Amino acid sequence: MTEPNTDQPSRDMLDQEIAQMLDQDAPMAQAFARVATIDRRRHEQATRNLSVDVAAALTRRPSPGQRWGLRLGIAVPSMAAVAAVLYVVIGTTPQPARVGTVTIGTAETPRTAIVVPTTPSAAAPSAALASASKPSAAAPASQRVSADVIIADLAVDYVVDQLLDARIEDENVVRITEAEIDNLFVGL
Amino acid sequence: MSAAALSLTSDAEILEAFRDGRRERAATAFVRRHQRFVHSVAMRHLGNTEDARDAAQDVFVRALQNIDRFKGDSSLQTWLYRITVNVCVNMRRKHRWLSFFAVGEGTDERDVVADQTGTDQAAQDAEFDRCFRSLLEQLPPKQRETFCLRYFDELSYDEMSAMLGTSAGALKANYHWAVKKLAEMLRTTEYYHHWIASQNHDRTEH
Repeated sequence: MTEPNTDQPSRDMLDQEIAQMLDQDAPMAQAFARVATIDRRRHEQATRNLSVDVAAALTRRPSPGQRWGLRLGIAVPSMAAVAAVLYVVIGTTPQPARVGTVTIGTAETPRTAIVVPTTPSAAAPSAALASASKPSAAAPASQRVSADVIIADLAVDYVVDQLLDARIEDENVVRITEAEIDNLFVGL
Repeated sequence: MSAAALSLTSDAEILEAFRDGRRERAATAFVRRHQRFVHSVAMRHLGNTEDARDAAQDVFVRALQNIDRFKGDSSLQTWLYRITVNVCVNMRRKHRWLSFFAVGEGTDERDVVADQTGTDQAAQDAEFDRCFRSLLEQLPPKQRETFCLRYFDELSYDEMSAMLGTSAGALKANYHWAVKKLAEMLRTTEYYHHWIASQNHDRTEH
């Protein structure tokens, strides 16, 4: 099947051609109608009471620091502690370029610009790392991983979370790409 | 769910309700109006209903927390589409990361269709759905997304153009070729031959 050049004229004819094909082929029309019905039912079932769940999530949504704590199974008291974990992961003090934005890496090889809430204190990283090293009692043994893995995961999680929120402000912004997110792993 | 929320039937009315301080009603109407679309997009990116529902919840929480910053340069649906895609990309990244120590696969969405109704018809629907989606997977990504936005989500070409950054003309061509390819592939399936046979049988009986 040869596809047309997208500059080809008379595009409205394309829709008519499809309509004609379905008019002349009842089983085909039946197939398309059936899959549309199945699709509609799936989404109706899956989103039942979603508005109630969203309302509940809005009222109980923990702060970013608390979210990290929940994931780690430890108490993360503040965003400073979160930044401290980032400090551990990145291995360098993030330098604020403007509010909420930092550039990591060296001057020769700068890495992805990310968002952190604050510059970590010198004392915080070791405390955060020590806390994170304790596995959650609730976690099954098969799911226990090293603190390094957890911290790297959560650091990227946090950074992407911030990127998503930052981008919501701009309605015309391009989407975050897979490559952009993967870049956050560089050096972790 | 209040009847008042259901009376907000357009994006303009919903945004006005947010501005007027009727936030709870507006939020309910907002989610109800767009939940199917957001879940549909999330399903295509994540592949199962459970993750798609989680993503949809996350999308609406983020959107509602930022609704006052929505300037109206795009439609609410376009805005939600972008948030949904970004949330899904992030969820897929998390899944890749967590798959190192995953203990099992998630429930397949096609099984959910069958499980929730539990009838022979539902099982047949699930089987046909599985077949149709496997055909969809064979389309190039742009044609697949265009087909789904147009056919399942019933968007206009102009709305899709704003979401995907592709001209309406190119989208029409994508849609046309997607339908033609799907039809060609469907004709090779046992379903199609079964329907043809049923049709001929009905004609003979009448």
